[in-house]
Amino acid sequence: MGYLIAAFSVVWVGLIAYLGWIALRIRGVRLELETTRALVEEREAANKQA
Amino acid sequence: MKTLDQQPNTTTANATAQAQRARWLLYGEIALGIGALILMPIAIWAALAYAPTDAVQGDVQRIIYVHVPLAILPYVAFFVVFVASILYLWRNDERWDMLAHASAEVGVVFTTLMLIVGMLWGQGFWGRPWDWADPRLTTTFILWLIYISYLLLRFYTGNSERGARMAAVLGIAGFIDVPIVHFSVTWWRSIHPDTNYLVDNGSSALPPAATFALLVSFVAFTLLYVLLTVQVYHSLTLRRAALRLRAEAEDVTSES
Amino acid sequence: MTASFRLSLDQLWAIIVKDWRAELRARQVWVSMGFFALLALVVFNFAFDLRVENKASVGPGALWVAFLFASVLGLGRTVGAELDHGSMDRLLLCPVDRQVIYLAKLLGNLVFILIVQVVAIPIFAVIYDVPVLTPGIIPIVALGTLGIAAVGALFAAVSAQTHAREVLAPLLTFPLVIPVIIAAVKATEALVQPVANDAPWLGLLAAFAIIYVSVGALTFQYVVED
Repeated sequence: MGYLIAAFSVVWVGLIAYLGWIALRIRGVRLELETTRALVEEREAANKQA
Repeated sequence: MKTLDQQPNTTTANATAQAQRARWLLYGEIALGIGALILMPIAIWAALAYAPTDAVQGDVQRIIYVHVPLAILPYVAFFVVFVASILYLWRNDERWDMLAHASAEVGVVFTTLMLIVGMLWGQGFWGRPWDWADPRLTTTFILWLIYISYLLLRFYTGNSERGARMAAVLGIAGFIDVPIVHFSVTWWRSIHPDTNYLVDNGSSALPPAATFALLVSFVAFTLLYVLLTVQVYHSLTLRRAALRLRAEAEDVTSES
Repeated sequence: MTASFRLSLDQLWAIIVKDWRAELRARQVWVSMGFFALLALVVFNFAFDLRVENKASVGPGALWVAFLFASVLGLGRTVGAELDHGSMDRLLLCPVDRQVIYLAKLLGNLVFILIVQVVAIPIFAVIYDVPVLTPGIIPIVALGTLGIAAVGALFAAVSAQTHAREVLAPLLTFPLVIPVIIAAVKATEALVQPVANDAPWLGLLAAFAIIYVSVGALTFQYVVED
């Protein structure tokens, strides 16, 4: 019985941790995309002025 | 890096197509997420309460309702890696490369969980966590090692196109190894008669309630595999987009 | 025999001869490879404390682990270093099929590994006192080494182009060649202590070698080209 509980908790903790990690990665990459986009616009604006 | 070669006037059309694709990806994720969210509690209930307690093994046997789907799905995942790798080398479309990467990652996570759960079951039923004499266990373990090395290779090569091609070569070579590994580890220990007790533990005649529990669990985990793969794929597409944008930004600054 | 096939054979031979010349003249990887194999056998002898009762079962394992390490080491120094130094780029500029280049590198290295083994196996037989010097060892060593080298050459080329270099080559090669190690060790054990109804280990070695020489020849181009 103890092994059953251990097995189920390992699977569910593991899967939820993995889901959370993926969500974090997606958020991190989204943030990176936004900052890069802002950077590009900034530079383009600077180029036009020059 | 096809989009980089395209003319500026087609990039807007390309961007709308990409946005369309991203939207479908999101809808898919939501639908799969809802499906998994509904099925998973049913699967857990069926495994823990609905299915009858095994006469020989007792409650420990209920582990198989998560163990079996977690053992079968990596083979599906690595087959997807194999096919996507071939298609990537053939068509040179980076979407196949990202699919292979995502599927390999989810496959490794499932295999890891399956190995831990299998060891717990082994400890509970056989009294020891591991036995090299079980060919399925050993094959899956070697498979796990191969795809860990696949992920390491991906890690070391970063986002280069050559790295993607090298990973594709490993994705093909690794999957072809599966039947050879299976034959070798089966013959390796099959000469020793004292290990046959592991090969089958009399679970062939499952009662209908147990079959139902296994089936629901399998469908739920399959949904979860697809959901996770799509999500990792999604994060990879975003990562590529960010890298591409950064490369463009550097082009802009170098031109000025 | 078609003309293009003959041309490929000529090219194959030309690359092999060129590599042998360079190897004999300067790099001498095979000397260090042979010495490495010998050292590994000595280390295993102490690590496992080989005595009369267990040497028949541990000896073949020690021999094949030594061969595996030596092969991966040697392939890293030849195929890998070549990609690293850019001499492969010049070869790729020549109008030669990529399959031919892969096969030439594979066969050229195979000969060197086999030379090492021809020296190492008698030494192994003497210092471990295991009777493996029978004609039966020849196909086992030839097919087993071909299988290891086919995978090893491909992934030596892969890892040479990453940041990890020497570390990555064994990480990629070892899991894939586990069937070769199992089959070669079991077949060598059967030479020392014949087993009734043994599994078809030689067939497995042959199948592995054929499959991975083909996979390597077909995919090598994707690894080395820009």
